[in-house]
Parts: sequence; C-alpha cells; structure tokens
Amino acid sequence: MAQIFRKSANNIAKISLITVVLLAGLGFYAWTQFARSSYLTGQYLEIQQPVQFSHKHHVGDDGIDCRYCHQTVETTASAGMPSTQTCMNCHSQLWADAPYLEPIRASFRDNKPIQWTRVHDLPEYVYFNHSIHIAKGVGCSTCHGPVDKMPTVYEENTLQMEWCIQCHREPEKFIRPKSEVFNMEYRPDDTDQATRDQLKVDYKIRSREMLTSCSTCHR
Amino acid sequence: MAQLEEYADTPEFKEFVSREYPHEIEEWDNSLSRRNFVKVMGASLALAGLTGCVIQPSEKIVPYVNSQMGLLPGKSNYFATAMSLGGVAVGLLAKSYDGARSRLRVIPIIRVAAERRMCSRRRQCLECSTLTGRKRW
Ligand code: HEC
Ligand code: HEC
Ligand code: HEC
Ligand code: HEC
Ligand code: HEC
Repeated sequence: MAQIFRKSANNIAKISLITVVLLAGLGFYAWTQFARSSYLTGQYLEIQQPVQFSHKHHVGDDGIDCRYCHQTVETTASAGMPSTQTCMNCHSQLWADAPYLEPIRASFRDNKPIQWTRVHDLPEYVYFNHSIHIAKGVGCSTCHGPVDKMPTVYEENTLQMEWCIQCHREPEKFIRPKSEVFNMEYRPDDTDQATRDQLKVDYKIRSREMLTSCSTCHR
Repeated sequence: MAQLEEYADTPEFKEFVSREYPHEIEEWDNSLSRRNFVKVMGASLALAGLTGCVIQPSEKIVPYVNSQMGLLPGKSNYFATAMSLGGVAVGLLAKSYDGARSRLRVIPIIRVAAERRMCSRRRQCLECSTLTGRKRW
C-alpha cells in the first residue's frame, strides 16, 4: 500500500505541534493583556456627567473636604453622593445664574434628583465597604488617585480582583495614619515601613489569610 | 485523489493503522467519541474565555434632592415620634430602612396601655405614613 505521509511529515508534525503551543501561549498572553486593558476595566476613562462638576476646582482650589459631599464614607458601605441641596448651599449664592449650573437649579426647583453616572463600578457579586477601609487607614488617594487634580473623575486603578488582593496580602505597605486618610497631599513614603507595621498592629488589621479568603469579598 | 475517509474504510488501512498505532485501532472507528471530545473541550474553552469579556452596562447614582437628616443609606434609621390616640399622645419608636420599609414600636414605659389602644385603632400614624407612603402598620 502507498505511503500516505512522506517522511518529512514527521518533522512537519513536530513543528506544527510546537507552533500550536506557542500560538496558544501567545493568544493567552494577549487575552490577559486585553482583560486588563482600559477598554474592559474602564481605567482612565472620563465619563460625561449631567453637570460638569470639577473636583479640581472644589477640592483642589476651594479646599472642600471629601466628607462635605461624600458624607457616609466613614459610616456605610457606600461613600454617598451629595444631595442637590448640598450644591445649593453654595450655589444659591455663588454663580447663581451660571448656565452650566442650570441642571442643579432645575433639580432643586422640580424636586427631581440628579442622575450621576457611576465611574467606579464593581460587579454585583463583589462586596465592598468604604467604612472599614477608612477606619483602618486606607486613604482615598490610595484607591482613587489624585482626585483633587481631576477636572473629571476617572478610575485610577483597574478595580480588578488582583488589585484588591495585592493590598489585602500586604496592607502594611499601603496604610497610613488615620489622620491622613482624607489628605490628598500625603505621599506613601511620608511614613516609614516600621511605623506602618506598627499601625497594622494598632489598627488590629487581620491576617493575610483572612483578608484574602474568598468569602471576604464574595459573600 | 482519494479522500482520507475512503482510505479509512478499507481493510488495508485498518491493518496499516493497527501496525503503526496499535492502541488506536478502536478509537479511529468511533467517530462519535472523537467528535464529542472536541465538543466538550470546545465548550470548556469557550467558557474559560468568557469571564473577562463582560462589559458592565453603565449604572446611575441618584442622591436625594434634599438631605435627609441622619439617614444612612443601607443602614436602619431609628427615631422617636408620637401619634395621637383618642386625644392622648403616645410615644413611638420607628425604624426605617432607606426610607422604605419600617416598623413601629411603642416606647416601653407606656407600652401596655398604648398597645391595647393601638390594636383597637388600626395603627395609623401620620408621621410614618408620610415617610413611607404606607397607611397601615
Ligand atoms: C462639593 C462636593 C464634592 C466634594 C467636596 C468631593 N466630591 Fe467627589 N463627587 C462629587 C460629585 C457631585 C460626584 C459625581 C460626579 C462625578 O463623578 O464627577 C463625585 C464623584 C466622586 C468619585 C467618583 C464616583 C463614581 O462615580 O465612581 C470619587 C472617587 C470621588 N468623588 C472622590 C472624592 C474625594 C476623594 C474627595 C475628597 C478629596 C471628594 N470626592 C470630594 C462631589 C464632591
Ligand atoms: C462650599 C461651596 C460649594 C459647594 C458645596 C459646591 N460648589 Fe460648585 N463651586 C463653588 C465655587 C467657589 C466655584 C467656583 C470655582 C472656581 O472657579 O474656582 C464653583 C464652581 C462650580 C461650577 C463651575 C465650573 C467649575 O468647576 O468651575 C460647577 C459646574 C459647580 N460648581 C457645580 C457644583 C455641584 C454640582 C455641586 C454639588 C455637588 C457644587 N458645585 C457644590 C463652591 C461650591
Ligand atoms: C480600598 C479602596 C478604596 C478607598 C480607600 C476608597 N474608595 Fe471609594 N470606591 C472604591 C471602590 C472599589 C468603589 C466602587 C464601589 C462599587 O462599585 O460598589 C468606590 C466608589 C466610590 C464612590 C462612588 C459611590 C459609591 O460609594 O459607590 C465615591 C463617591 C467614592 N468611592 C469616594 C471615596 C472617598 C471620598 C474616599 C476616601 C474617604 C474613598 N472613596 C476611599 C474603593 C475605595
Ligand atoms: C490599599 C489597600 C486595600 C485595597 C486596594 C483594598 N482593600 Fe479591602 N481592606 C483593606 C484593609 C486594610 C482592610 C481592613 C482589614 C481588617 O480590618 O482586618 C480591608 C477590609 C476589607 C473588607 C472587610 C472585611 C470584613 O470582613 O469586614 C472587604 C469586604 C474588603 N476589604 C474588600 C475589598 C475589595 C472588594 C477591594 C477591591 C475593590 C479592596 N478591598 C481593596 C485594604 C485594602
Ligand atoms: C479582596 C477582595 C477579593 C477576594 C478576597 C477575592 N475576590 Fe474574587 N473578585 C474580586 C473582585 C473585585 C472581582 C471583580 C473583578 C472584575 O471586575 O474584573 C472578583 C472577581 C472574581 C471572579 C470573576 C472573574 C472574572 O474575570 O470575571 C471569580 C471567579 C472570583 N473573583 C473568584 C474568587 C476566588 C475563588 C477567591 C478566593 C481564592 C476570591 N475570588 C477572592 C475581589 C475579591
């Protein structure tokens, strides 16, 4: 009977096996990069809001504390958004006729809330809580970046699981004194490692095993 | 040119296969299992790839127009109030969750008398019905 494959087929078979493995590896690498890309995670994307509210002006220039507007950040899971009334505390006097504040005035007049579009949005199957992070000395800027310099808020970090975990593994690398949590000027090397290790003890931060256990974030 | 399948069906070919790959002779006939294998693998490959590819729809955050004193989203809010029953004010402790579902407790000191009257009077409460839009308790 005739040969189906010539002898060289053996080499071709070997080469194609290796190529397939290489291609699969390359494909997987490309996929992991794509999954981390800002296209999928929304990192650095700026989102159009009903009012062009600028943290740069209100926090950076005017020095308003985060808690004036995000009132529940220390007490509940959600940081909370300012009510229309909170804006009107100032803007019923300040820039009271400015056209770009019309949506705020309309909301106040018609008793219709403003609908902000979420910038940071975890999937529903993830449990997140602001108050515990604030209570244990994780600063706003550690997770949200230099908000006081942002004319439009964007996501500084991917909010992917690997990002949460890299801190939950070694929180002592990221925490700061509680008094500095709202300080946007704070830099990570303002406190040395020894002090941070001590803070971890003082704030009774739990073990790495407990913080990385699946049920901490997936309940 | 003959197709591969044509070779596969001939006795010579079967013999040839059993010479070259003795353990494979069973498999080669059984095209179903080969297909199933690819199908199953395909499904798990597809599933493995799915996870990262879900883009979430955009969501809204809708705060109040007027700040609600002492209201913490996601946490129960307790406050003292009163209602009038037969011309007498009765102290009540109300519980409200995100301004929606609530429950009423008569404040303990005057409980017995008040509870009796509450039962007879269908438990209507002005303050609370404005809060929740509900009339009955
Ligand atoms: C004057 C009120 C005000 C102050 C002060 C303020 N914010 Fe905001 N913040 C807002 C409003 C309004 C929005 C929604 C509009 C937007 O996303 O830009 C917002 C949105 C955000 C978001 C994005 C929320 C999302 O949708 O994911 C973050 C993060 C944030 N603020 C952090 C901070 C931090 C950190 C501070 C303190 C340094 C601060 N804010 C101070 C009013 C304020
Ligand atoms: C504590 C007072 C205060 C509060 C509260 C406040 N603002 Fe302002 N806002 C200002 C001042 C002051 C300016 C002028 C800023 C500047 O030009 O530096 C301003 C300017 C603005 C402008 C003009 C564009 C810009 O950024 O310069 C917009 C839009 C605006 N505010 C929206 C809001 C909204 C929305 C809220 C509620 C979430 C709010 N403000 C709450 C004080 C306030
Ligand atoms: C440990 C990281 C972390 C820290 C620290 C942190 N945030 Fe956030 N923040 C998040 C995440 C994650 C979300 C998205 C939550 C979601 O989708 O449910 C978020 C969402 C928000 C939002 C949108 C509304 C909400 O609650 O979902 C605001 C506003 C906000 N953060 C403000 C702040 C302020 C102000 C501080 C500092 C006092 C702060 N955050 C500290 C991680 C953090
Ligand atoms: C920069 C550090 C840091 C980052 C980033 C971070 N965390 Fe945390 N997280 C902490 C610390 C510190 C604690 C407090 C641990 C303790 O009290 O023992 C904590 C506690 C928690 C808790 C409370 C655990 C409990 O049992 O009450 C949850 C839930 C949580 N984190 C979820 C998340 C999620 C989800 C993310 C990512 C979106 C995240 N964290 C990102 C530092 C961080
Ligand atoms: C510190 C918080 C935290 C812990 C601990 C944690 N996760 Fe997650 N997990 C997240 C977050 C945040 C996401 C959402 C990621 C995203 O949006 O891309 C997530 C997503 C996932 C997903 C979906 C992945 C995807 O790409 O869609 C799976 C599966 C998962 N986690 C499994 C686990 C398992 C198993 C464990 C325990 C070993 C665990 N997680 C522990 C925070 C956590």
